[in-house]
Amino acid sequence: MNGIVSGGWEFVWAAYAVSAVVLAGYCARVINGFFKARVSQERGAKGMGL
Amino acid sequence: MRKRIVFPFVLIVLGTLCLLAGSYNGLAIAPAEQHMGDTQRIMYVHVPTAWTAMLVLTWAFICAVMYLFFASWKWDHRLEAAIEMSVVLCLLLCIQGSIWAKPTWGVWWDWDPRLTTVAVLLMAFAGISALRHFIDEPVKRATWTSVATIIGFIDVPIVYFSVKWWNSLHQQQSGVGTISREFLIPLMVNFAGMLLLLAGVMTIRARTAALRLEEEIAPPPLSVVLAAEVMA
Repeated sequence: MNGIVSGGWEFVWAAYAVSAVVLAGYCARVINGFFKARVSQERGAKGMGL
Repeated sequence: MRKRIVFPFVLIVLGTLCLLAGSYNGLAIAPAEQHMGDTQRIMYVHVPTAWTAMLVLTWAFICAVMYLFFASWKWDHRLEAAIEMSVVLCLLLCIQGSIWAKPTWGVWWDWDPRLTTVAVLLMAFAGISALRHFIDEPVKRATWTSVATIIGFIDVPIVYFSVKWWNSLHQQQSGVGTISREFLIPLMVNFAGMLLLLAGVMTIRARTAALRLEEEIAPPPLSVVLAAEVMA
């Protein structure tokens, strides 16, 4: 034990992978939600004869 | 009338490119730190997440105050986007911190002041996000979540100062002047990437909130009104 951390690349990759998955997943969910909401609103507008 | 939105998508693309460049620099070009070795590379993703989380939480607080002052729906839409993003960033912060804690502290989690206050922040904003789903009446929903956000925001300065006020395993904040250039470049590029990405995503999320509200409070379709008149 010398107080210096050796190795640890698996933790580095894990941190980057989790960050990429969470951010990409959330971005995809937001973009998908936006297009769904827009389609739904357009259908509603057509129903009102606009 | 369909309103085109291009700018937020441009921000998302630019943000992703910055994150890829910053992460490549942090993983492949920047040197390993003297004491923490390669595990210190987690900093290039953890610290930008922490900085953007603090900014988004502050933005949520501003949106809440602005809604209560001006009662404008646009502030409620921005608040909805900021609350959701705060939950995602606080969750990410806890996971990244936990992964970094294991090789450096020897444990995945410790009830240390910094970690505990961030966990409280995550629970508070997850609760506020849940609250929005439980209230059907739009004005009541916007007002209650604005008040809850202002109360929840009290924890943000506590998170920031926790490492100064109490004995903490977590290191104190480093300033730009105390980090060498090799470490600063990937850190700032990733921070810029996170800002651009989140600005784009939050703009789209706020627009979605506006579309959903329009649908929620829109009058019934003309065909339904006419059918009701014929029946009468």
